[in-house]
Amino acid sequence: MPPGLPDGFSDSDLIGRVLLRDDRNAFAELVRRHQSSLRASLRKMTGGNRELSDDIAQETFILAWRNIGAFRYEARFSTWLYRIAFNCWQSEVRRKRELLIDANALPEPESTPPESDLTGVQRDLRHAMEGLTDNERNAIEQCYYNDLSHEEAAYVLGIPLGTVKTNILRAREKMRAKLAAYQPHAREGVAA
Amino acid sequence: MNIIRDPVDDLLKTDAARHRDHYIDDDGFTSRVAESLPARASLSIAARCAILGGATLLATLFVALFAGGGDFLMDAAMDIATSTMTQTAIAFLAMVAVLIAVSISLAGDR
Repeated sequence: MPPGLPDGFSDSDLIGRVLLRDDRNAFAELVRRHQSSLRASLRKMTGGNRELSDDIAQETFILAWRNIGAFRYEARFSTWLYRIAFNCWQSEVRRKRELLIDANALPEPESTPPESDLTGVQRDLRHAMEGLTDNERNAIEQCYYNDLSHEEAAYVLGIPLGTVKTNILRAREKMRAKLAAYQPHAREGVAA
Repeated sequence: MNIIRDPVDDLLKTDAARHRDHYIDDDGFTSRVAESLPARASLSIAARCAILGGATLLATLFVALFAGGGDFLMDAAMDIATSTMTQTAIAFLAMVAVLIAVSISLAGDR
């Protein structure tokens, strides 16, 4: 079990303590609880760049600390964090684009797991996702890898619910074409 | 009835579950964040008093203008005490409502 999990305080209790008493220990507990999922999500977004993803995760928590008074419980605290993190990542992408002009010179994935460390399916999935547009990939990452509902993904990405659904459908369609070998009929063909 | 399953959906769910199951060790991350937390911006007591005092002054001026000046406070108190809802009494109650609203707002900011 990960360290630092429930001491009888819910996220809401901890947020209340931060708001009422500026309790840094309560906020640290929130960071401890959510750091793994947030950093994992950012590593996925940044293509495995650990240093950059941890910098953005740190920035996300600092922004959350500053603006926690604006948290209205309209979403889970973790979803609110994903939203801040996504906005930070988008700012980073824009900043890099402005600096480098060339969109291909976006943050280098310094520590992406080498292809040899991945199973065949994982490697094929990664390649299939590389063929998606940014919007499609963002929707897939939020809904599958962050395990959010379509509504929550729309909140995180700041786009209409219908757009999320469309992006998911399009992404799956594109991936289906690239992952044809995993279709049931293809397996039967291989078996025959 | 056969349920048609989307193999891409299955592949993504399996890969995402593996991804989520991988716990990233804190490894000093929480400490680094805690050390870099800035002081949270909040209103000082002086600022709160100034806002409350300013709101009171504004409310008083508003009531004085609305009620035509003079002994409106005394008149309002007498009217309210005798349960007579005059224009002065209503203005006085409005002032009290403004004060309560400002107080709640300031308390909520904490």
